[in-house]
Amino acid sequence: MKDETDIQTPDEALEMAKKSRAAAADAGKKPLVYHLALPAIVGCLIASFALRDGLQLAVTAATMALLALVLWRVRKRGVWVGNLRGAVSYLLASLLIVLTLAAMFAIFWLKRTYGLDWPAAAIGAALFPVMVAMSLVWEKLRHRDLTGKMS
Amino acid sequence: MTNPANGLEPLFNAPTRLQITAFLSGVAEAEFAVLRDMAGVSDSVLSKQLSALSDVGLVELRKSKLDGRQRTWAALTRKGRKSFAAHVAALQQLVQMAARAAE
Repeated sequence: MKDETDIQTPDEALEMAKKSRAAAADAGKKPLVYHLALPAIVGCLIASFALRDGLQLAVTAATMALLALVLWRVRKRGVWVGNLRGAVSYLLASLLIVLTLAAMFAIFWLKRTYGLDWPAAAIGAALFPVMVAMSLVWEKLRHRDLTGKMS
Repeated sequence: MTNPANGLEPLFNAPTRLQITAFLSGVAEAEFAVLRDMAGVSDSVLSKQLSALSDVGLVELRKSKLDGRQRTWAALTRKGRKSFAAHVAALQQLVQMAARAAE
C-alpha cells in the first residue's frame, strides 16, 4: 500500500497523472455491444415513425425500456463518461444532432407532403451504421486524448 | 516567465489525491470502488482523500442506489478541473525548467 505522504518529483507526478488518465481511458471504454445498441435504439425509434399510431407507441416504449437497460448496464461498470472532450468530439456530437434533426424533418415533411411512411424506416436503417461509426470514432478520439500528451 | 509554483495545488502533492483527480479528469464521474481499485488504497484512505478534495470544492460527492446498494460517486467540479489543468501545466513548466538548467 502506498504512503500518502510520498514525495514526488514533477516528473514522477506527471507520470502518475498520465497513468491515471490512461486508466480512465481504459475504464471508460465500452464493449462493442454498446456501440451497436445505442444506434440500434435510435434507429428503431426513428424507423417507428413508419408505423401506425398504436404500434409506434409500443415500439417507442420498448426502445425507451431498452435505452434504460443499456444505461443501467453502463452505470454498473462504475464509470460514467458523459463529458465531451476536445473540439473534434464537439464537432462529432453536433454533426450527429444535426443529422438526426435533419432526418426527423425529412420524415415529417415526406409524410405530410406525400403521405409516405417508408422513408422513416429507410432513414432509421441508414442512420444506424453512421451512428455506429461515430460512436466508435468518438471512443477512439477520447482514448487518444486521454493517453496522449497532457495539456 | 510566470512562476510555475503559482499553478501548483498543494492538495495534489499527495500521490493518491493526484491519482484520483487525474482519473476523474478523464471521466464524468466514477464510483468509489473503481477509484479505490485504481489507486490501490483501502476504503478508509480513499474516503479520507475524497473528503479532503470535496471539502475545498475540487470534487463533488454524490450517493445513489444501484441494485439495492448505496454507492458513492465522485466527480471533479469545474474548479477541480481548472486546478488540475493548472497543476499539470505548472509541473510541465518545472520539468522544462529543470531540463534547461541541466543543459
